[in-house]
Amino acid sequence: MTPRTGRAAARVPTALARLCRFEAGRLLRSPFPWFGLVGGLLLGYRDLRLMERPLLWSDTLDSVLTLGAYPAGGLFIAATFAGVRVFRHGPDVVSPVPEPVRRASLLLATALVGALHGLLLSGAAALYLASRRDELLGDLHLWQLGVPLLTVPACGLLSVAVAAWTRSALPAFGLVLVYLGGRLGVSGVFLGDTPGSIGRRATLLPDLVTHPAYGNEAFGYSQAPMYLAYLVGTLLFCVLAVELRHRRRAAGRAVVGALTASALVLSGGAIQSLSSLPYDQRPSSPLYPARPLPAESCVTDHGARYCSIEPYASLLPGWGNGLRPLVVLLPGHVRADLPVVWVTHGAGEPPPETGYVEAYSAWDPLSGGYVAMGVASAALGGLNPSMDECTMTGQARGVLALWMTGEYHRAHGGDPMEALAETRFQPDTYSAEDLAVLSALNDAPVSRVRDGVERHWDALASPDTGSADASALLGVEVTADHLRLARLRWDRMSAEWEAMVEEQQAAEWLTAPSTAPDPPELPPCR
Amino acid sequence: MTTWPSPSGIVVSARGLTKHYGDRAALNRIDLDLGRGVTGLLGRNGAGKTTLLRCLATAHDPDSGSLEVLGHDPTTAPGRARVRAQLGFLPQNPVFYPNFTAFTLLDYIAILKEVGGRRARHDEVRRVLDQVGLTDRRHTRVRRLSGGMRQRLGLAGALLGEPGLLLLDEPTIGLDPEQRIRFRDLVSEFAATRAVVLSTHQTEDVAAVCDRVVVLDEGLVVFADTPAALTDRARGRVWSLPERPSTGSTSWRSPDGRYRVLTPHGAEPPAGYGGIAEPLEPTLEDGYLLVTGSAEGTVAA
Repeated sequence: MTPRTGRAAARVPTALARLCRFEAGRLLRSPFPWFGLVGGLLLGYRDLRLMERPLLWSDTLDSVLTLGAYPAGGLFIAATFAGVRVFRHGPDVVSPVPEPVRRASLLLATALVGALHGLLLSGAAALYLASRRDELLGDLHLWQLGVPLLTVPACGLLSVAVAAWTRSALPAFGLVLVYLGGRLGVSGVFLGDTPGSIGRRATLLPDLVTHPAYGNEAFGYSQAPMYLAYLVGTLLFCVLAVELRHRRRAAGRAVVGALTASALVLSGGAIQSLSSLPYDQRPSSPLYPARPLPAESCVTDHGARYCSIEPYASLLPGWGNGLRPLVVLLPGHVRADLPVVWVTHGAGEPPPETGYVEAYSAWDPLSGGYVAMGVASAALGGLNPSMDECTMTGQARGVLALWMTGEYHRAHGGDPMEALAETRFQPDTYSAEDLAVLSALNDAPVSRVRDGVERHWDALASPDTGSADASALLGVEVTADHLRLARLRWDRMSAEWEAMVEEQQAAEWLTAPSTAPDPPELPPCR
Repeated sequence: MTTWPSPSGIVVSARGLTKHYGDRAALNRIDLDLGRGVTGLLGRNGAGKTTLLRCLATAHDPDSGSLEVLGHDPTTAPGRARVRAQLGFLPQNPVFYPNFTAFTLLDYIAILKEVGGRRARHDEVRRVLDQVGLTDRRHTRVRRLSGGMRQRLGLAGALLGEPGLLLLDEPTIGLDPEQRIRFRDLVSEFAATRAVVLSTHQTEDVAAVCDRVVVLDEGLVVFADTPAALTDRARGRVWSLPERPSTGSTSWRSPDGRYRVLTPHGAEPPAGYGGIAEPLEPTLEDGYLLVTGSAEGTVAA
């Protein structure tokens, strides 16, 4: 090969800069990344605004990372068209600017525009945080600032690499169709539940770059140095894949191919490391920044204790208020023995060593119902009926837990029968007679039932006391109407359950026909 | 080997230039010198015109032979870069990006041709847009331009950067008569100081603007001289007859009802028409048909 002359070599940076500026200008004028950015900002604003709990740096970083998928998807489309122009038609253009310089200019421009979008997202997040005037908790390492700046470019460069190999805009159109199809629920029709994971991944295609271990990553995903390694590996892979496509000599192809494979190994290995660690090892793993756990904070409301780590102490009064309608139905001595309600937000904080009922984030009536059922079940000495370990069929305490949870819903403007939604109802969870007793309790004055509970607590909490005995102990009459309506409800819920089971079995049979025998009947909860 | 008269101020020099596509020789050991002014490249479809232009434009490397364009060897990387920097090339099917505006497309081409900084580049784009009469369409997207306008846009792209050599492959396709006249004027003006190679099937264009004409046939140069010399090849071989002769000559019906007849093998009227054949003034097209051997057959009326 003839060596490049000094004059020609001196022209390369100038040509690269001019072409890069041109390509960047084109990408910046494309509406797709801006649609993505605006959409991402709106969604992010909505999500962060709804988040009443104190914010951690990790929350913010994860939000910026997640929202980056939107401009990243837009950049994928915009860069595809630029890539097709350069890679499909470029070789036909007679130009003194060497083709590698043209390729490099597109890659560089895509990376810079992607980084700009990442910067704008981060800036918007910073402005929002400044407007909230909250203290951001946790630590932010300097290297973590690079994460939002690399996720969008990674998606853009992936698009350029795809265009280099396909020389077609079809991937971009495919992305739009699959993405919109997924958003409109079309993928569910075509993909069904059988290849569910594929469907989910396809519908969230832009997320694949930002969340490559989708559904398998743990808290702290974007805070691990390994995630930065993944991003760097992905960027290198894309650049090298473009170069590999244009290497003509066997030796050059071998060298670039080996480097491309190495980048892929780096990227894939980083993701494997991120997703393969057992959950309980992650906070202390060297992959994650070890940070001292904040002190624990607790409040007591009507005898029930609510605890969390210090940063979430402000959530505790909300839970105290929310669960109060249920707690006041419990006798005083029972409240003192209740397991603590442990309020978390998924920051990896370890739960208390003693028994606890977990509550997630800020209280709201809907999510609080499940916690209410957990508290009532725990108070009555039983397990949460959503577990599959035993059945409370025919037990007074099972019906009483439903009644208490129903009163929680009634206090917050709901229907007492919503309590059934807090259980994973199946025909052997409750009998129709249990539901009839529940209806009678719901129809009786609350004060009368509460007094009965106070007087006969020990008997009602005993696994040996039947639901029919409960109505007698509490002075509540189960009428023929209660029984008739309960049977109708039980039949309907059983039919729904059976239909769901059949559907699930059909889907499982399609993927992996099971020869396992039917599960044994559940023993009574003790 | 036929020796052709050399033009003044050699810009392109080819010796034994050969290019194959599979077993077929698109260019077959061509010796050629092209100088300043406009050189017309004539030939049938598949004669090798486009291949020759693409070799000159450095888009193809020849299989063998030597080639010098603008004083550089385009088969080496530095030489190719230097040639490309001084070249204006309008290919037969130019690449247009439909979403670009006319201005943006030319700006992009200007960057690829390394035409100065931003301001100088934009001035140059405005200059060539004005030259081809597309100034008022500078912000129109390419997909909204008519075929003729796109052809002018392609020509504007070739004119960017004041190239020393302009290679035009079928540039007048899609142009209306006014645009063709404007094109001829533009090319003539450009060629006053530089070189233009114009590949075309339009003999009127060649006759109108070319200083020299090269006729290719099956990869060989079968003629290279002035248009007048090509026309002279047909002098005394063009006749007007009241009817179509049966064999041995090319003929077609004229608007006056008589037949224009070319006699390839001699300056005699077709056999049997000695008394009634009237000699006609030859045209460039007559000469072209004679040197390519097309005058052997019969052109339908």
